[in-house]
Amino acid sequence: MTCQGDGLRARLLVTRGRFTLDIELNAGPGQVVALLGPNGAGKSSALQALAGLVPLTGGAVHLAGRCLDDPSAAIFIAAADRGVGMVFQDYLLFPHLSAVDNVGFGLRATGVPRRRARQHALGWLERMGLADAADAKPGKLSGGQSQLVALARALAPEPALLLLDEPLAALDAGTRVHVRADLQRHLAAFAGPTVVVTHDAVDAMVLADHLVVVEDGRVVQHGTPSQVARAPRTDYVAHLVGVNLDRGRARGHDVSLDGD
Amino acid sequence: MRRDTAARRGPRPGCGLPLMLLLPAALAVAFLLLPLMALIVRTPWTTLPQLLLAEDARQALQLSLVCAASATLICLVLGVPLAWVLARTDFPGRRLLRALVTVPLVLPPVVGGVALLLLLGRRGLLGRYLDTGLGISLPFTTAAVVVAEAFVAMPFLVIAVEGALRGSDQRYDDAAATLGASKLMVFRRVTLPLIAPGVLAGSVLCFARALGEFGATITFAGSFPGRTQTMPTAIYTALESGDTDGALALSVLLLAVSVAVLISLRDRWLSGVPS
Repeated sequence: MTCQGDGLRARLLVTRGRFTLDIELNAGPGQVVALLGPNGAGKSSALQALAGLVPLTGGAVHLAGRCLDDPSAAIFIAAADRGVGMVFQDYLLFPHLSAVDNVGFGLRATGVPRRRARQHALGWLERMGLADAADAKPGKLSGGQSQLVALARALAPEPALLLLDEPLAALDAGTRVHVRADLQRHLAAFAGPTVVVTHDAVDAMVLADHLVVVEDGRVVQHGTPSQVARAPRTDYVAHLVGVNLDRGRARGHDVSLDGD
Repeated sequence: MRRDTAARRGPRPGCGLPLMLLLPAALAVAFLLLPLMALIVRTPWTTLPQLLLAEDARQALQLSLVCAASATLICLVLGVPLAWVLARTDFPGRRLLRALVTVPLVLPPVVGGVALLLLLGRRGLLGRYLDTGLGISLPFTTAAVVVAEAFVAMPFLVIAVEGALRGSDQRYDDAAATLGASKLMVFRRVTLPLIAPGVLAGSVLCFARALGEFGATITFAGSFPGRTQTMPTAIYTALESGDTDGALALSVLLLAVSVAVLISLRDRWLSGVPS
């Protein structure tokens, strides 16, 4: 693989004990790709590898023409130097910092003076409709608010890639619908590629332009949401999109089903 | 909540407590508490203020506070990074290192004092160079008191902070890293604030240990009034010279400090995990 081109191009090979993740993942600028799969499929490992929290065993990650990880070339850029924003499943907002300081953290880390970082962070909170909660500690925020603060925190340093780990899983059904709509709006406004990990088909369909379905560390299907919904290739995908999958053999115009 | 569980699980009153266990248990309580009660009963409460304000006592009190605070500061500056290394890095020999730095915890303090003399004394391994090279002689100075106290107290801080670090969620560090924070900034702005209660508990414990230090101090620093005589060594000297009331006054003060430490730590004790 050469180190050029826009967006994200990655082949992720991560071995952890007996589990191996081996997937290919591409996302253009502004594109939202959902990594969809059951628990334990390796989705979170994929995100951690992209973020630089876990080194690749093989493969490579290229982002906006920059090589971030390539074991064969002994390249590994640390998480702090990647410019990859991440929204964690349980948000991991720093409990000792107010919402605005959480959002400003990444700016402060890159050397932006305190006052400018605060102003910038306030701007982000306003955009999220959370200006009132700026001085609240994370413990005082609702699940939906925390989600948006975490998103603002990840976006504020203007990352080259945005990662979201199960962004809606921690929310109750009522807030989920609203936050999903908010999230969709904010992701659409983000210029870089986005990778969303989820085990929820509806979340994936609503948020993403492209689905990559992962089972047991492998890609079993990928395509646009409608393509995947129309022609699910495994039982898992069929179950997810709510259709029954009957396996069979096609001969001409006839299909003979396996089993019964 | 913990109390409720204990109440539910504990034996109900009057259902035949085994005397074979109850009797030694009661004796143990008496054994632990009676000496303290004797101390409190015999303390000359009416003359206590004068006794504590007497020249020697006042000096010892002041010196004790200054030295214990200085020792705690040194332990914080050196011990917190050490705790971080022990908790957050992995290298061959880490467990051995951890065992070694906790040796002063179980080492008789007087042995620690001898060891310090052998290293930093006039003819010690390092001390001879300090003496000939820089003209510094550490033993039997106020600085020696601080060194002796820090030597004995540091493991308390290291263990408490290491426990707090192990109990804290490392994924906050990951989150900070994805935001572009260097390792040092993650430590300063995220890790340290999150374990602040554990660091505080460790400092209190460390301070209390330093304040009560006797063996290493008297061996390495001696007991010169106004210079190296801390409360514990002053108590010893007062008793030796027959000044029982003076010894009692300082003793009851140290007892009060210990109780205050116990109250401030409560269930945090050594775990260092914020409650």
